[in-house]
Amino acid sequence: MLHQFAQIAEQDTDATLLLEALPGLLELAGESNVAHMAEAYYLIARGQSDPAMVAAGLRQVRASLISSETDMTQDAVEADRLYKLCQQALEVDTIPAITDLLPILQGLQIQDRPIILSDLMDALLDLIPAGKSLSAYERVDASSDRLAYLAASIEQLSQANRRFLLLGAADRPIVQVIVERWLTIATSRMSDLQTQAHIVCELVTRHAREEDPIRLVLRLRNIGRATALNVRISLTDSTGYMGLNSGVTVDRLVVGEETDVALSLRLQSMGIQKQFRAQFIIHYDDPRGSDQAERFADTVRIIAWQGRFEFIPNPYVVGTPLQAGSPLFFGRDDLFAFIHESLSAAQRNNMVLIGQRRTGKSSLLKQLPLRLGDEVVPIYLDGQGIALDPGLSAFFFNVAMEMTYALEDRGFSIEVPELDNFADVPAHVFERQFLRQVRQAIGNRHLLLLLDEFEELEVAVLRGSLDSSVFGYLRHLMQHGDNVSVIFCGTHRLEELSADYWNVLFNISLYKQVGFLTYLEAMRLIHEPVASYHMDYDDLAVDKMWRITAGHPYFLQLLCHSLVNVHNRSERSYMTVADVNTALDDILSTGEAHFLYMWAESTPDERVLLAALSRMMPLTGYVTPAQASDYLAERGVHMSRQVLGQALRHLALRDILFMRTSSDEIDPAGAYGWRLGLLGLWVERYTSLSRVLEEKAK
Amino acid sequence: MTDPYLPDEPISDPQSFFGQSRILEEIAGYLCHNQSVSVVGPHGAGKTSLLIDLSRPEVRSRFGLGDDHLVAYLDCHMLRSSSHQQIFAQFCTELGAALRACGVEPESALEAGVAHPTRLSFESAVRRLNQRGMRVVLMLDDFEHVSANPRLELSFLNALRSAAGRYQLVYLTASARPLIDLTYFERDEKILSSPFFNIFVPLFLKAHDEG
Repeated sequence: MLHQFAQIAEQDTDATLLLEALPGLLELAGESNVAHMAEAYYLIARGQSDPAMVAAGLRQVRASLISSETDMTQDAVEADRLYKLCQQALEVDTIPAITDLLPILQGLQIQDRPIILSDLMDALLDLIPAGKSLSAYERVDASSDRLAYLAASIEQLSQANRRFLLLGAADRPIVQVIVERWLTIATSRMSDLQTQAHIVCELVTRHAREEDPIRLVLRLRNIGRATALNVRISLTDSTGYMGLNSGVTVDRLVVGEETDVALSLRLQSMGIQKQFRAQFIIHYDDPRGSDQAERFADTVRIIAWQGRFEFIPNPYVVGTPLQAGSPLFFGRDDLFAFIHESLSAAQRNNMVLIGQRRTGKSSLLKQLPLRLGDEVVPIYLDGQGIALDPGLSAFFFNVAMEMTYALEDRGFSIEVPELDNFADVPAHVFERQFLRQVRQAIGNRHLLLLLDEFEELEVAVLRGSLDSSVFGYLRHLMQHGDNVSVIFCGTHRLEELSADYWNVLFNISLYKQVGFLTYLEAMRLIHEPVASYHMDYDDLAVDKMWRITAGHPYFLQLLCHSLVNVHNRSERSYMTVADVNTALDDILSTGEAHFLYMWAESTPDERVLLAALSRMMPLTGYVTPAQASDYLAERGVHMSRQVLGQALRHLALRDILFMRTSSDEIDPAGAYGWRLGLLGLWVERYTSLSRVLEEKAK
Repeated sequence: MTDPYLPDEPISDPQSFFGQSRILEEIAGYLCHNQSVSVVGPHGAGKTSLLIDLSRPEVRSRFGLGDDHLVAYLDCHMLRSSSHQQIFAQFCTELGAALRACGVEPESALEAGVAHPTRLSFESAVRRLNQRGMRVVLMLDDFEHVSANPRLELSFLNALRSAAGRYQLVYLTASARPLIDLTYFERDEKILSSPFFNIFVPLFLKAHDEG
């Protein structure tokens, strides 16, 4: 009754006055406990902007509930539990304290709604979305993600607060002061995040050789919102080891910047320990004040010296495509799955595979006979071969011959075609005679034509040696051929080709990008071909190999090839980052043609940018278009925003750079980093901005 | 006595051609893995000698290029004004001669490739040789003569590239300038597909490599 009366207190002046007088009147009537309850509701109703009054009211109402009856009714128990929860929600002072309440709040969802205090319970349930956002905030590391979750929680709390305006005077003040409390905590944390550095660490050397001293490399990255200054990194004491340097200092680590530091230690019991836990402490200054601290620890495994050298016949292949079943072919499961699914579809889709040069497209096609099972008959056709001889007759004859050979290799017998048969109506003969024979030979199996280097057909048309009707025929075959699909494989996107020719084909095909190897695929390529010879790499060496190649199949194989040579010459089985650097010098020279080619394929504006970026950012850095523009302007080069943006985007399309996305930590969206850092190293070593500008001026 | 370093005079006596072991070993290592090689060096650096040396059975086998390799040496000077059909015919002729030199059974597909020279007949012959267990090595000396041949379009080089990707066929070219210069920078034709030079590992021969 008292609760219901208090609910309307604000709407009715008489009720307000009465609520104020009620405790005194009840006290006079000897109803002391009820008087306390009335006073509690009075405190709550009047405490809209005063958390202390609401807190006092909550304490008093709970005390009254507990002392009013020796055996509390179920309603009183429910009411006490809700008020207790309100008290807890009001007393929190940190985000973890709020999220600790989340299970209790969520527990309300499965309870029956009480007869009294049902509005209060609904209001508390309204706090759950904000609680979940704060819980998510605690689980993420990147500042951008943390800020996003904080912003979401603030928005959810504000929305809830607006809904609370409809509550009665006995409930509303309680939930309003809770929301205000939570808002204060979230906004304060948000403000902190926007003005603080946040350093995250990664131990690069998680495996160490058994040697004295052991050198560890720690990678630091500032993912906060402010620059960290005077960053001091040291090993903390441990019973297992002794740090040999007092620490390393990095003057500054700007937002998004990454740096590696090396620290040495001596194991306490050399030869016995198989692993130990390395613990670091990082002190730094940021706008919050000096001496901020982050702690980090990771396990280091000790690897015994293999010491056994064995000459390795170099297994890495860098020029020709890997043949079917090559032990050097790793991964690409996503592409195989795509092809498999496309062929499994009811309509047996046609496909276009596009990827940069030397990314292993041909090698991928050559694996298909082993990957697609017996029901599909893939036939590899190379545009560079079949388009040499002029005329449609020669073209269809060449295709027929290549198919005959491929089918023969697969055990299907086909009558060898004669060129003369294709003289008059080549497409007709190809389809009505040759394909019919093929169909008879392979039965119900699906014929899959793999047209590699498809661009060469366009070149043949342009030089006048092939009639453009070949594109129309291909479309006819793709649409109406009996159990036939085509995979086109090349480097150019549709917009880089003559749309008149390719539109008709690509419009009826599914498109897939062939990228670089994933990290795990690259690791397999690095380790597995040489594992049986006991050749191994230390963590830093592998890290650098990944960073400079980003898993580019050609450049990674080139690097591995060179490292096997280093291994054989040095007669050491264990490769370090110094060996990678030696191999790097080698491949910057042996791979020169490929770098020159990538350079030549770049526009003059792109070359200017590549020259600038190679000096502006290290392998791991990022540059925004504005920073690139400023850098160039300082050197007297003025490039419009549009031209600069277009050049950067095109370099990213060619997998030379990559663009950060907005969800990628906290740097501004649109900042660019090296994807193929190796090209950056080559550009830095062999070009200069002034020379590029001179060439551009010519 | 013949000066072993005299320009334009290939060294005929392998014993006098010392100091090249490391390079020969490297080249042979690549060829064994079906990897084409481009030897680049200034005029008189010993490129021709290197190729001729490696074409000798006793030298080849010393560096791991065993009897399963059929090696043919061509001086591209003779191809400087040939059509691509004539060049394919010449390839087949030289491979036929190499077969005879090895004392193994002739290959009718090579004869067909000489009689009706096309890309396809050349590739058919290579395919047959591969089926007989022979890997084909074509040594193309003074490759500038091919790249500068006015009768040849880029599509011919593309066809050579294509064949190397599909068969056990490798090229060992020798030229004074890098292949990228000869086959990419100096060509006016539109290039959309993969460039010829990028299947090669370049080996740069300096003057001091001669000795």
